[in-house]
Amino acid sequence: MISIRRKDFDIQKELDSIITKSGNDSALSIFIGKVRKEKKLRYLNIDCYPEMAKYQIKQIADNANKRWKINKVRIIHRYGELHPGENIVTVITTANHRQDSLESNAYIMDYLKNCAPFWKKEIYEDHTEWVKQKSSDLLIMEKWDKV
Amino acid sequence: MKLKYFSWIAEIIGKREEVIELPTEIKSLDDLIGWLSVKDPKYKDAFNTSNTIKYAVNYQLSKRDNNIKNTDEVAFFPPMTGG
Repeated sequence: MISIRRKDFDIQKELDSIITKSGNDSALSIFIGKVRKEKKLRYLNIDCYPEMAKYQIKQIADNANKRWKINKVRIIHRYGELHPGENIVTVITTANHRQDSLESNAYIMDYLKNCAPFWKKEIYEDHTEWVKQKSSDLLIMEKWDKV
Repeated sequence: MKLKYFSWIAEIIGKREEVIELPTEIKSLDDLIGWLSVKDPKYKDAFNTSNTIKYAVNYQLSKRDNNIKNTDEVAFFPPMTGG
């Protein structure tokens, strides 16, 4: 269900696999996050605490399972050196209903961004910079407490 | 006790992990941070760089006044920026 790794993922293979396992589910949502194509950005170096990431992401997925009627969840997050255009993360959720599938997917991504132990370092042509957590991301996460 | 450091904290301290024997007088995360800061100025530099540093004990986010023991894995890192 959860994979934390350097290696890229083949989204078609992931979809085929989850469709096979998700039986009669009529809704499937996919999110894919990629490295931005930005001028002078050579690559991202993503630091990670893999053991805690698995633990935290499982907690997030379990919470999503309690809030929505979802059947299958697949979450892959990469770390290491990732170049512009490369995949960073994917979240796939399946359910019987569109709303359960879409909302649980967005919830998992919002929490993953702020609560899973990954840290992005941007390597530009002329300098390097650790990405700072955005207050707007925290606000997006907090909105779920009000729903 | 296993200690882990990530992101710019690992860069300042100059290592990603280490194993220490926890002195008996160290009871809380706060005690540990104080003890490390006296041991080597690199730790002090890292811990004083930002007041947003987060702590995890055995993969769970913890507060500075939480109790710790020698068998715990303690990690230090800045706010997460995944996704």
